[in-house]
Amino acid sequence: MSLDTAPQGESMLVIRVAADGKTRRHLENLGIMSGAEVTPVARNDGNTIVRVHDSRIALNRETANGILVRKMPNFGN
Amino acid sequence: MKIALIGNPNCGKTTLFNRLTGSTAHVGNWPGVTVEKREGCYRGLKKQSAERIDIVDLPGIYSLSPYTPEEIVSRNYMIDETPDLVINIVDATNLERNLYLTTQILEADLPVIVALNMMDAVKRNGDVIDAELLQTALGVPVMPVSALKGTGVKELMLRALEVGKTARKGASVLDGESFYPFVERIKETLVGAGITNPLFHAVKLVEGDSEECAMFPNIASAFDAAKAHIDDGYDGDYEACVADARYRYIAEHYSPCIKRAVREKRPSRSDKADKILTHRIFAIPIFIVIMFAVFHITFSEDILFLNSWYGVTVDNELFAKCLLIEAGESGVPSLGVWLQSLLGWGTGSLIDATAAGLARAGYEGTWVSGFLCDGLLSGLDSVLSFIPQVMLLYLFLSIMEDTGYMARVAFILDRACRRFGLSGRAFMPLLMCFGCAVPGIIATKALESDKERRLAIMLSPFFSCGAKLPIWATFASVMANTYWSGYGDLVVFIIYFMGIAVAVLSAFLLNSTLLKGDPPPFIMELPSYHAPQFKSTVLHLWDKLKHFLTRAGTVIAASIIVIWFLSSFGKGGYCDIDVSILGYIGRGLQYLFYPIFAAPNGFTSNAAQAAYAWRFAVAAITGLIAKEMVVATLGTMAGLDGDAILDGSADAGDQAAFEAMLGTMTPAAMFAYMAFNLFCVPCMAAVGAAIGELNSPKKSAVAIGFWLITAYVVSFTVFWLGNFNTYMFPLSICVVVALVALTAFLITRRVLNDKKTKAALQAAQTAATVDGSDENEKDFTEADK
Repeated sequence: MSLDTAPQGESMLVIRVAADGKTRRHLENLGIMSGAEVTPVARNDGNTIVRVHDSRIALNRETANGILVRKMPNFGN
Repeated sequence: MKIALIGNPNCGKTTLFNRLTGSTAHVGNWPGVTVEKREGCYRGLKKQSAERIDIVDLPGIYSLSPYTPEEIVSRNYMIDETPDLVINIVDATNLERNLYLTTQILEADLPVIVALNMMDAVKRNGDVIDAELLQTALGVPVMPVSALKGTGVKELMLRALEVGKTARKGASVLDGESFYPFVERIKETLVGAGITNPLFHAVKLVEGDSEECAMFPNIASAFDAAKAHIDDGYDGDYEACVADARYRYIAEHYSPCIKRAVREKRPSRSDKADKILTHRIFAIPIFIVIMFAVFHITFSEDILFLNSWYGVTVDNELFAKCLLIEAGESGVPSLGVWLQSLLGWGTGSLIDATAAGLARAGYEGTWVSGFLCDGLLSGLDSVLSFIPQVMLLYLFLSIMEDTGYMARVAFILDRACRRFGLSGRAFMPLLMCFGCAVPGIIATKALESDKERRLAIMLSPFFSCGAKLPIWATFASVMANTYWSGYGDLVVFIIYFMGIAVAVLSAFLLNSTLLKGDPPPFIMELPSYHAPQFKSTVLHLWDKLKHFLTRAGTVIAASIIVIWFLSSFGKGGYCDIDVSILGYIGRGLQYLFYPIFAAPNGFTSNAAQAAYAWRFAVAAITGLIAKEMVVATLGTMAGLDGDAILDGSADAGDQAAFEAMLGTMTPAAMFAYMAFNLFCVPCMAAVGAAIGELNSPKKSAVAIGFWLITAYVVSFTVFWLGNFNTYMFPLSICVVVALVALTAFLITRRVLNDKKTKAALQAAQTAATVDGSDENEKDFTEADK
């Protein structure tokens, strides 16, 4: 699923970031890249606020739509 | 010794800068978001060292591969101007992300100290950071500080003095990676060519940084040719893997320095606030209610509309006296209006006392008394009397910014802004324009796309600034006394709203014609919510006040003197305003303004039109120097009136004469006049800033032409729409219809285009589905490892 529809409050694993070079690089600088853990915390018509590391990043719908995620695998919890 | 402060945005660089340089430093002209470097001087170590220590505060950056123009300022300063030492400020509450920048800074050949800021917040969360362990892992000194409280700052500077004296060679955390041999090879070429910071440039070239590739085209093309022959699974794209390698290194080597307290997995307070304040349905209504409350508290003559809606009046004599109103007549004024009356009462008495003193000394009726009382003091009074309201508005805006709410507003408005070519990010500079357009225009540097920056600059005057506020407040109080009893705040709200509405419409029109293209994606870090800092808010307000007073004392006082001279002297020396030099110039100029307010329909009588139309024209023109001049000029000219049309009001003091003069305008003319002042070319300072940021004579000319046309069209329409019994009324209707038709046409065209691109995109997606799912699978397995 993509980040603009991922359930809020659950840890997600980024699988792929589909964006043009400049945007992708900026996302990487902020810590949003494949393999990173992100948590959607709020959403407004697809525009999504996600928690990455210890910061909160706001993304517009189109950008969030290009970030593919899946649920974090649970280790015995 | 030159020390540069570098770090992520919002990590406390400017707080540390202010702490270090104190009040002795020359801190930038404009408060708010740092978009340009600022310099100051640290004097805390005079005993230990005779050397001068200069501190440079730089805009925040996430990485040394810049994304926006203001980030380029920071990168270029560090790499090209080679400071003696870099203090890398790290927000300890977000250590991993902040250290990502640190790993890049360490690649430059510069002495570095890491200042761990916000350690108190880390402690509050119950976490522990082992600074010594981190120091060993990073290989450079790590000093815990609290920029806000000032703890550890002196130790930091003592260490800086010591570390800054020894040169340091760059080192990279990437040296274990499979692509590192490329870095070394490029570095050797650069060393051979005598380039400084070879390691830094080498890594950036391997990453494929576009700026670096443009700087070293030969090396970049040679590297491109070389990597075409290698197959290491990256397809020659090292950018993502460098970022990945940095974060991996951070997780392995630096993360063990943090011992996180075991916390319940519960949303934080900021998360909960975000759930409500950025809610899909409630967010925008909440924003509108907050903004209305701010305007109501600042401008309302009748708090909560108690008087106009429920007929509540203040009857107690003493209470009414305290509120500076007539008992039994009106409701309770808002804080802003009350403060303004209080100040007006003070300055009014001062002018009267001066006039009385001069009369006793035998100067009554001479040019000395005229110059001091009617010219300079009345003019300055009409500007300065709005200080309480301007300050109150700044206070509310600064609180909203400081708490972190404004960043959320940018987020919730992004979707709406996107329809007319702006991203939510553009909201921040435009919001600053409500204070002053100059820092707002400079802050557009933080926008990533050229087109969006140009659009934001062209819209900037439409967000009514603090200097224009006296114009609205003046007319609002006249209207509240005559036509719109008790609704002064609504007049001001309408003007602000009209500015925003015209900004939205013209953004859409510009985006559909001159400045085509989609706005860049909205990606913004949101700060945590926190209570406003008392000290920084007060400092911010003090800065604004100083700026306002400085302007009043220089540009405005000087212009008032010129206006007074021109309006008091004519062929026969000291004379009446009607036969003065300004009288002749103004009568010529008023024809320019005939279609937008100066026609006889704009005034209550023909006599009033003949006496005053040209004065409003002159005032509007002086507004091009500085917007405060509009009321100052009107005030000066009203102060000179002794007789005739103002029917005895001259006895009642300057303020009454002033209001009587404004009251000769009809409401339609007042709105048209305000519209002209709002949309026309802003003050000289803002025009200068815009020309500087647009950096092209052609683009600047387009912007100035755009402002003139908008001002004329809007005020023409407003004026004649309010005069529906005239032959011009149908023409103004035609203007409105034409604008609506043009907008409708452009919207339809855009919707059709969107449908086409969507269909094309869908077709492309269906074609690529098979391929795409394959790739996803591969990534899945990789991520699982």
